[in-house]
Amino acid sequence: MPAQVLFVPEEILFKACPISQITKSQSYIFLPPSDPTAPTWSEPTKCIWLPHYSEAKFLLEKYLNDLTHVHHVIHIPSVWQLLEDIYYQLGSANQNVANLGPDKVALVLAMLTSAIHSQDIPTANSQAIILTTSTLSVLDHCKSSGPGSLEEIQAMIILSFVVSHLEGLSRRFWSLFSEAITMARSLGLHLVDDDKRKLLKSLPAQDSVKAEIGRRVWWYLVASDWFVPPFHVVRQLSGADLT
Amino acid sequence: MFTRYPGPSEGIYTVNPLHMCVRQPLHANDEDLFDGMEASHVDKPLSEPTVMSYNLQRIRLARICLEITDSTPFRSRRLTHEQIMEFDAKIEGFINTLPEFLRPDEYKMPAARTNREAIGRLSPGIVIQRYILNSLLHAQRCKFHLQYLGQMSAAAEQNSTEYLASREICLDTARLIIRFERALEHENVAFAKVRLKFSGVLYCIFMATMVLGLDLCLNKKSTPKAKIPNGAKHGHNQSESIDEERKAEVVHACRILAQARRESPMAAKLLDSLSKTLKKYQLTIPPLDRPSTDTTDCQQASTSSEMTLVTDSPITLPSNVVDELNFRDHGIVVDSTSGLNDTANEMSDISYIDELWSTFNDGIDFEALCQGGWFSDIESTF
Repeated sequence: MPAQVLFVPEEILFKACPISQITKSQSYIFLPPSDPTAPTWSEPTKCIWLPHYSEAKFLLEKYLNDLTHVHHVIHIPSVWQLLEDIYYQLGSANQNVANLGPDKVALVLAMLTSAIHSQDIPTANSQAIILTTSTLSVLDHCKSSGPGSLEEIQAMIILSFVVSHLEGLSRRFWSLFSEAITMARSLGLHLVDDDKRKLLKSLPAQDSVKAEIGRRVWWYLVASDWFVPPFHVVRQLSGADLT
Repeated sequence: MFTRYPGPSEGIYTVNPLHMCVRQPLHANDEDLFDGMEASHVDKPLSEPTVMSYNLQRIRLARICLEITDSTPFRSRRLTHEQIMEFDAKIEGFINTLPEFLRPDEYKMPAARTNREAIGRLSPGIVIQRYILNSLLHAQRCKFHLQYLGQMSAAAEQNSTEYLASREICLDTARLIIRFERALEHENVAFAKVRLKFSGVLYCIFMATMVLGLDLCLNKKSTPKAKIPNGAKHGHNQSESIDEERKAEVVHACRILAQARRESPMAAKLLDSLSKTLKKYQLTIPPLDRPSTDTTDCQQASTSSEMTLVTDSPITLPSNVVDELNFRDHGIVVDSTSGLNDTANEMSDISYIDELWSTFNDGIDFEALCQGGWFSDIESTF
């Protein structure tokens, strides 16, 4: 008997439009009924807007040139391939989320968001906030629809970086950061070079590019975790004296 | 670059180094990786730049941090000064063993500096990696010694050498951070123009500004014992010129922060938090507190600053610094040929420093300021 799906994720749809027209992180649209004989009423579907292909290419290039250096948790040829795949799917008649893989969309969106945030234009921050919300929304969808993936962790790291610039080390930031560590463990990224790793079938082969990206991701998270302030402010006068 | 700032999770890490079995990432560029690769063939020597160079050094630094956390008793959360100096030596060792391409010229004697051609050969990516690594490194190191800066006036009276050593390191690191900023501004890298949007970068600059600002005040008291060598003939003049230099340093650092406020909501928050904290000590910062400063306002500000000016000598800054100061509060860069406005702007920024400085001289409790959570206030906004 197939496992019963208890929590059915909300349907989600991806569409592309010029970035200047993305003024909301998501919208709800009515799709034409797939079955013409079905009743005419229907529920609207949640839609996440992505920038146009040419804009996305420009932004990814910017991310790779200017920003990835501060964490580099990705593999450049793989993310270019990902971008091509996603926009190929978006252009095709069947824009089904299952084909696209929401985790992969989240990773691309996170990189584009980071690039938008770093632009030297007055609207950079407001656009970055819209796209951050979109990416969070896609990550949320991933949570309810799959077991977690390397791309999701990469997306969370890159997005947490943007969040920290916009609002500091906020609750949103820590939520992304700690979930990234938890998910990395659940995928077994801390055991990539373990002799008994065969128990974890989800892990890629040790000599594969994917395993190496896993090591980059894991060590980035670990180093961030260990970076405690090496000196602690003595706060005997804090509290009542200062508030 | 996400270091953890003081809060309930201070001194705690979540990943146990014994509960993982992952070798470090390879020091290799992405195009060198392929499925079925032999790690030893792909791994490059650390002396060659790759896209992973910063990341691997960051891991090395994180290991030192881990060691420090493990050595710090959880209850007291304090290390002895001896331990602090021991770990500082490790951090220094870390700096000394950085590959050449990650070592900024600021570490070297002028004669040994890389010539422009060699700098030109570094890719923008490596310039960014070098800047981030060194700023992060020195912000961590600076913070390590910060508590002793606050105890300087007491230390000077006791002639305590250990406190002096920590203060020197604090100052050196703060100056280096500002110098890295200056150096990056001259690099032809897109990242340089937008770097003030990044909270980690802001944190480093903020820390450096505070340290330099505080020391400018503290040093007034500690100069006679700490700075002037016995029997030096030109001691007085030298200390005056050092003072001028220091003021210019702080002005420069504040200028970077004021610029940052226009780039990042984080910077605005930080400055707000700073000015609120300062107000608790009856200190106001004129240009930052006023949403717009018209000429009259500026003139008033400059007049008031002249009245409270503690130093006898007028502040003269190198012309390039003055030019850089000509940012108006509302974000318009004022043309340096625009006469009156020009002087007014220059004065308003200088008066900011002077007010800050003179109010400090009016008997603020420095120890309370340093220990009592001034920095924690700022950090808690991250």
